[in-house]
Amino acid sequence: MEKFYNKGDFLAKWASGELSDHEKEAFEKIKDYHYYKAILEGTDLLKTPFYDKEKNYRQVHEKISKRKKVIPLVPRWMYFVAAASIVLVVGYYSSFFYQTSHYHTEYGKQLIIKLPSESEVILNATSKLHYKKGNWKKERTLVLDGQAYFKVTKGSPFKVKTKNGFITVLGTQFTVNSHADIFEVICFKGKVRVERNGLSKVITDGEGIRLVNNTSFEKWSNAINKDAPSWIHGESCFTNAQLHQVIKAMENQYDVTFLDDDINLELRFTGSFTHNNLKKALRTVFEPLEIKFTFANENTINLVAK
Amino acid sequence: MVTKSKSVCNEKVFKIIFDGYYEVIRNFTYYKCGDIQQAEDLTQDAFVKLWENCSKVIFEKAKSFVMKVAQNLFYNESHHKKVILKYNQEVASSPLSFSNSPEFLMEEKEFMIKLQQSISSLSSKQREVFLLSRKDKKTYREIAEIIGITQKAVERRMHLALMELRKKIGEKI
Repeated sequence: MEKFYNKGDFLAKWASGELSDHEKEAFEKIKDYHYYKAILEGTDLLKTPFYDKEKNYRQVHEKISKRKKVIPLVPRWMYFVAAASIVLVVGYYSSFFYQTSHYHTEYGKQLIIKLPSESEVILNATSKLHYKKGNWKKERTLVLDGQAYFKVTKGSPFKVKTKNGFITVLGTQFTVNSHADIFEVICFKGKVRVERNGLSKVITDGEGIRLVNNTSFEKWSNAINKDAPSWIHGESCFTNAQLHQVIKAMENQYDVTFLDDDINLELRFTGSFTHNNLKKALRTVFEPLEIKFTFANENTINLVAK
Repeated sequence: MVTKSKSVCNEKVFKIIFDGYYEVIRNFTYYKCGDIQQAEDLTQDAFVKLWENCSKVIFEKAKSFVMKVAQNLFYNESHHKKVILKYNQEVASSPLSFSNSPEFLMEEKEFMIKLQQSISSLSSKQREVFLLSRKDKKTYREIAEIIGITQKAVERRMHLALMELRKKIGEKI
């Protein structure tokens, strides 16, 4: 015999409290009732995953602006009338407002750049940076090739584009290192979003992120330099960094070339080297890793595993 | 008298729609696909679609438009995972009524795990009805609107979902 409470929509009506008193009483006498009651009470204790409404709204906004479709508001014939004046306007804008500022540094040099809106960039050795002055207020976007430290004041989104990916922030302090296939971002204050080929990671203060073998991101915590990168004080500092990154940094500081075919460039290095004494720098990096260095000539250094 | 409906293309109106319906649509999608990241992505994409079509959709229909788009986007994506709702240990201070009853020999924690698994293994049709009703506190009428089936069908699914859960949890409480 089928039980009365298994018919039709009885349980649905019970769950929503729509049963008559009579039906309810009958149901409560049955053993199964306790199971059903436990199911509902247990479900109440389950949590739906947390979500951040504002963040989601921002993401919707980003998606919209990426796919922005121009909805024609003006009748077509207007375009012909407007065409002539547009040429003039574009010419005017590009010569005055869309001026690009370029900066670059030589081996072993650094450069402090004051941006409009009070933000500041310190460019490390052999790096390039440029940005457009014209639409700075609306869109603070810079293009970087190399290594730089950014102090960003609050305001419109601040973007750093590199060949290896791009970084978005609101108001914060962070460094970017994007030399050839090296890509590393360290955050000192606030929050930073790092994006590359659809991969997106957010890091907060005290965290760093780097690209490993050109494929995946590796997060690490930056315990040594809590306030600002060491390189602005004449020292390059690394936390568990791959050796090729350390070698590249040393080449940029001292204008030397390393012959590194015979060593394992994926070895990890934690520590620092000074910017004002090459011999000392070589010793601090390569001795602990058991790598022998010899000068082939003044600017070329041979590296061999011991 | 004919009053002109609010335009969805107005950003303020758009935000109102977003604030009002984001959560339920996102949860609904989550109950279907079981992956919170995917659910948020789909829901966001659905709102983007609404914005792109803002001149064609009237305010009153915006919710069901987004709902429908999210649903279609979900069906277009191939991989679905199992829904896993997290049991919040902190809430456990309010004891379940069955723990006072000698008939139930199962520990509360054990029961919660079993319940989670059972909900995960419901069919997605039953699960979305069950969770929209119990977690989002939607009436059967509202659920019918969300999914686009009759209220009668919602009630039947809810009934079957409960029976299914009861069966899965078994005798050994």
